[in-house]
Amino acid sequence: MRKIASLLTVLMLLCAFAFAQTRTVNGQIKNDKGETVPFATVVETGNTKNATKADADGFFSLKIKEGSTITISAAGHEDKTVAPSSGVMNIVLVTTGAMKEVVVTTALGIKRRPKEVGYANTTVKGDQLTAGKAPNVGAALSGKVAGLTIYNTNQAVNSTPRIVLRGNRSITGENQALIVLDGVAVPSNTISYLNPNDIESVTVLKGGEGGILYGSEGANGVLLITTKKGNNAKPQISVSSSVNLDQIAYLPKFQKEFGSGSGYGFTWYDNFRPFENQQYGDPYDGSIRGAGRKSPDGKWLELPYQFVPNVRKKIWDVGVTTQNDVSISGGDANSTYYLSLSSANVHGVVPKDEYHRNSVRFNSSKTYGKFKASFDGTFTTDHSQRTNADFYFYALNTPGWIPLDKLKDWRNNYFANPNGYFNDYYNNPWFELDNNRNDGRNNYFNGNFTLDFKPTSWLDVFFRAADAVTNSSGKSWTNRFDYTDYAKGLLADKPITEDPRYNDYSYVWRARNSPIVGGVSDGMSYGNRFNTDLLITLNKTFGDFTTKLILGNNMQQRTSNSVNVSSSNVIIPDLFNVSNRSGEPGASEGNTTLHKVGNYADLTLGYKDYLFVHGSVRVDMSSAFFFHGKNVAGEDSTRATKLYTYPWYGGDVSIILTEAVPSLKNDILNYLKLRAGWNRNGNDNLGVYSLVPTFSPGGGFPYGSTVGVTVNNTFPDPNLQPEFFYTTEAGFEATLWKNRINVDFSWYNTKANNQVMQQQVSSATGYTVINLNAAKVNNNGIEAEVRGTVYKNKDWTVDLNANYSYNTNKVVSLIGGLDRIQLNGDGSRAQIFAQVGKPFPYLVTTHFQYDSVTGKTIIDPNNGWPLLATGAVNFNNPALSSLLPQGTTTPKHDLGLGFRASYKMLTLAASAEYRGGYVVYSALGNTMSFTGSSAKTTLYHRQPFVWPNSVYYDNSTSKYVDNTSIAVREDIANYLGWGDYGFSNGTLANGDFFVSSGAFWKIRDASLTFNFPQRWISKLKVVRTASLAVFGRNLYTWLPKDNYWTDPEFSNTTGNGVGINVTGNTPPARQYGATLNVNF
Amino acid sequence: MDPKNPSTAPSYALFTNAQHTLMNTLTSSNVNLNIFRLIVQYWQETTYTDESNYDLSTRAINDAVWNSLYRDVLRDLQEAKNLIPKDVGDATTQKNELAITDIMAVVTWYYLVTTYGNIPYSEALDINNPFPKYDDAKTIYYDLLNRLNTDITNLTTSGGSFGGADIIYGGDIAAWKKFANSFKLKMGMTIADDDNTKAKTTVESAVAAGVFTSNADNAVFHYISTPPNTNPIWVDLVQSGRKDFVAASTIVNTMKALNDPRLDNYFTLDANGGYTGGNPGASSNYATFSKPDETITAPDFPATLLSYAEVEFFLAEAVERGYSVGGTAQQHYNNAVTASILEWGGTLAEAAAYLAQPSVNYLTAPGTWRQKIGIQKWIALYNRGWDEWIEWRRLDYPQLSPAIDAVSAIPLRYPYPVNEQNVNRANYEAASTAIGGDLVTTKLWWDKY
Repeated sequence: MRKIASLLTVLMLLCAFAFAQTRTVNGQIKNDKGETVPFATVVETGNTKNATKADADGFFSLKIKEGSTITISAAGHEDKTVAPSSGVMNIVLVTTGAMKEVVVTTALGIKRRPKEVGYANTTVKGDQLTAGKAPNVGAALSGKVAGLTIYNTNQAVNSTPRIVLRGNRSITGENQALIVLDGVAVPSNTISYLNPNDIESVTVLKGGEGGILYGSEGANGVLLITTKKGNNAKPQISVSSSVNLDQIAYLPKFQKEFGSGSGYGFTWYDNFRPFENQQYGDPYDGSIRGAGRKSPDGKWLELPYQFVPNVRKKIWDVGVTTQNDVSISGGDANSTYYLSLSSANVHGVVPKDEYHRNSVRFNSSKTYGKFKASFDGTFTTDHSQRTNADFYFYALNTPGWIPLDKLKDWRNNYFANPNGYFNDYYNNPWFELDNNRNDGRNNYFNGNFTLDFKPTSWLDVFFRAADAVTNSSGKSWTNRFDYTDYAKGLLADKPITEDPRYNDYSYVWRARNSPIVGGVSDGMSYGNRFNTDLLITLNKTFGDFTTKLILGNNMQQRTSNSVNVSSSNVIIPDLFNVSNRSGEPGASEGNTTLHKVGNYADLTLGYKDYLFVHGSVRVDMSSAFFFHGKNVAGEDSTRATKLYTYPWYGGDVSIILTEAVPSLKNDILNYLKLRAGWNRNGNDNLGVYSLVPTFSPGGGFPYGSTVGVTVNNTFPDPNLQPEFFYTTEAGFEATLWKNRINVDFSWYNTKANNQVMQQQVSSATGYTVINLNAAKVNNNGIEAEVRGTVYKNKDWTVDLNANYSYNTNKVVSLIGGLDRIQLNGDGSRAQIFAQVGKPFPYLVTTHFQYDSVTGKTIIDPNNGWPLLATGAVNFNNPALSSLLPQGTTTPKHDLGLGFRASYKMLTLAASAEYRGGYVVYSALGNTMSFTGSSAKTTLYHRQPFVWPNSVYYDNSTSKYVDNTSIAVREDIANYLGWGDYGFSNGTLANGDFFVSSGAFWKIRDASLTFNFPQRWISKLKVVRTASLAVFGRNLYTWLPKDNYWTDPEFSNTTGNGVGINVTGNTPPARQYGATLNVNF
Repeated sequence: MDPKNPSTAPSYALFTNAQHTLMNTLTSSNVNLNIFRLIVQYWQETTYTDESNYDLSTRAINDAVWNSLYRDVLRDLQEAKNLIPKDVGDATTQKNELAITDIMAVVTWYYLVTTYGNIPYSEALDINNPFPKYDDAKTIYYDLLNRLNTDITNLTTSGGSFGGADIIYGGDIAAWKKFANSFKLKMGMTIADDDNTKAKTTVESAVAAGVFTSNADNAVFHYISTPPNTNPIWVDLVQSGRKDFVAASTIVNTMKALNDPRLDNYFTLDANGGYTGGNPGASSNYATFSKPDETITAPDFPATLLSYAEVEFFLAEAVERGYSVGGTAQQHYNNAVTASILEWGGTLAEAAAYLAQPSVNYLTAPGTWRQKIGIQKWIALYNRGWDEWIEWRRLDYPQLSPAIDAVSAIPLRYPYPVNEQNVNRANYEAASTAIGGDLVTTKLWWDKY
């Protein structure tokens, strides 16, 4: 602190010398549209040595001789010379349409000139985000920024996407980017409820360097969201209304040949059962058959035994989203305000799924001389009503001859009611939809208050207090349903028909074996994140040198609280209250508090406006790393007495070569900047209380009044440290051909060491998991962006942009010589690992044995069906190894293309994305094979066949011999091989069967906007501009042939182990709609 | 501090939880955890017959048992032992509590070592050693006997202990002493075929110190009739609403042939008003066959850890093996059968009539003493599948045929957990080799015949 104080003294002294026969001019520069003009040059007219630069908000202060005037020049504006006046001058420049100086918003809302920034960043403007009317900011960013991968992991009405910059670094910790709203770090779910129309721009800081000032939270890159503010102009009112339709785009490939049945006999004729969920019966023949069982009055649901076309598509709704926004903004010379109201109503593709969101946002600012104060607040309330039932799963368990779309009325139609529904094992999806539901409400408040004090042109003191509060309540319930005695088979025990295939049981299996007792779970939670920032910015020019020093302090307190009560039954049907139960209720509560303090300094040195050196350092103290008390060995923890801090730091340099060496500049190359940086940052997201071994109440306690507690299963190493990331990056930015083309290229390498691993240990230790610092991962890649105006004349503008990124990582080592740890899986048949020597997440699966010499499949000569490999795991020689390496499940290549053409008042914009270089596993495919609904189960039409390219082991010659004659046994060909979990080497046990390339091409969004000509709307007087747009999203997806199932972006997790899609994801949808915007 | 999960806990609460978890594990009928009733053919599954056919891997039952005993019982007992010296001021009480805690640990180790064979022991329960080596089963066993002897010596009848936190004996030191000696008798007899000398001294010293003398001594864990403190069988069979189990034909037919008075205590009437059971391994219609009796499936039906009947069977066997325990084999056999019938709610008259039958009478019943004791013990240990599994392997009676769709022979041990194979591979492989292969058919050291 003493050093800083003396530096301040020096800086003050320097200013004092200039005090003689002068006056100080203060002012703010704006353009003729009322927008502030940043970084303009202000010169004492005729004395170019006495100059200054305005700041990012257009403010400047310059001392000039009495009687002099000042000249202001800014890129994209006409120069202007004015005489000084007292007070804060308002200087208005006239725009010329040429390239303007832009501002890059960096960490904590600090605005910088692009020249100064020595690390990769990309800014996406609000209109680019809202062109496709994506439901949330995450989806809107897909494919628009090199290095940014958005995983839209499911189709739910209120889903939160996974947002990753530059691939995965941390095996078990956080890899998602930090979300920052108007300078303040906010919880990651903010992105799912923020109104896209309120967004001015999103700046993506890709590496850890840009996030150093956020400490460890910024280690995975930062998405800086800047919301719209008012401006110092007349009030403007904007009204926007849009309607968006969601329609199932495509479904998996279904088989259309076989109806209900399972493994009851040897032939498919024997296998037919009208009450089966599985679809391994005899081929459809069009005959009339009874589905399920007879009703008490002897009636039967008689149906033609033939596939009902599109039956599984008809059950989904056309989703409808309507969104209405109103905003008003304006201000006067010293103040601004912005108010917006938004209402969105979503009806999902899953019938009866609803989501409603209302938000109000207000911000305002006021300048009082050297003070500026602002307030920004958003209140959002949302309400979702969804089914908990896996509707898709139930639909797949319905054979194709059952007209599911006609069985909706389960209350009145006996054959749709649980008592009479044909399916013995799974209930009517329409019944499940109504009787297994979740109702969730969230109230979010996000707000901040800032105070900015600018005593002189070179000093700025800024304070901000911000709060993000979430209050949630949620109720899940399943209703009670009492089966009739008839359904349970208690009244009659007689065969249905003479045909033995109808007479497995005389009762509905479900009714007898799985009573629907119901249950209710009701919970509330509260989360608060209070944050303060104090920033002192010092800007000073010394001859050819410019300096910018920022000193700051950040304090955070995060608290959370949750309470949940539940019952495991419902006594009176339709009354969903925990008190309507028998037995003890379940109850749980959780409370956490985390404190974090960070101090930081950030210095930028510029030389002649073309060379910039920048360095930042932040020292974090987190309560997560304090450990008071004794460790398990009974020793005093070293941390009880020592203040534990972690420093994060980095530096970067950028040089504008075209200005350093002006001869480089020519008609083709207009601008060239080189940059390089290095930083150390890391994850400390251990979670609160991770260093303390804890106890929980034992199961089945309290026992009367006696308590029982148990040692928790995770052993925390009290000496845990954060994970450390060391990143090196370099790149260049160039502007070509009269500023028409912009190119940006980056290369980076991150070594992520000291990773916190949840190591599985022998449970003979009494624990199952130990948290340790171990494991190293290397991550590297390149990013390239090209954007430009390829054609422009009076009427036409055609812009194109492309971005490409390549990313790969490699697990260097794990704890203690371990080869792999599991991140995700679908039983033993597919597992997603972090595997030493491979990129992670890495998919391995079980597979059929193959001859390592010829690559041919090895069959069992007794039945003609392939053998499942069961040997020891060996990735170097996987032929007989029980696990086959498949590849990484995150894309190596990601290419985004954007196009925008405008002709007079029409604008056509579209963007597309390709991802490739990875594989996915479809647990959905496995479910579909079990049910027999998948087209992949009829590859050989379920008839005996000779397995293609197969060999068998010939005992007499001890060699593998080509198999040309041993056909698959009939019962295996028609059922066991495809749909029986009990058949140990069937396809269901063979994970390899459900792996496909993850590649895709998608048209992410397309829109056509019509701007109403001024001569039309000028008659309306009040209307300033108006536009009408039609748009579509995910209009088309191209998938490789081996992907029979679904969108490879879908995953059962938003965690680090992505790559397994499931029925819960629901089928992919495409969206289209229209928006009307009117500005008054 | 984690307000939800305390970072300090009272030692007695850890003890109580360990006792509860051990009893739940031994008593459970959950197919994910305890399928010994199916293995010894007391019960039989209705629709999904995987476990009746010894499929341990699908539900990773071998992992579940291991985790439950090591992680959920022994870890808590270990933690209780660490904390008792700090929590309990009175020296005698402290010593008593430590001894009782260690007895519970010895009991737990007994089930582990007789289920898997070689297991981590000397390096176990130490997180500084996340991948412990496996110790020789016999060496472990002898160490357990030493520990049990020390514990018995350390129990001071006049001193205090856990009180209500000990749900089995309410902190009664005399009862614990009797239990420890009775369990020592059990442990001695278990190894009689392998090391007769050691068995003889162990059994004789246990009996001399005083073992159970009536059903009042039984080690019984009382459940409460309201959830969540109920008998796990009620949870599995009644609360869940599932209909997964019926009687097995093997035991029903045997008991019918012997006119066993316990039949109506064990099973319900079948659809025809008689007693029938499903054939092991075949799917069985729930409605058709007899089912576990309502007494057993009552929420507060107690769980038994060790019974007087069992002790008398051991004594009968000890006489047959020539150990000095007093009495004749027939007397002990009669006491055992009578105690069992009384324990299940029968009368002395029923017991006398039953024993009078030539097929039951110790002098006239068919076969060797192993067969006579084996059959009656099998009947008496009904509902205690795990213990009967040990006795069946040791006595080789009753002679059970494997289930119809058996995936293996009837298990003679459990394979090591899959998790051990994955994370503790080197030690796992060494242990597998040492015991002669990690198979269900590998006989443990005391299982000689």
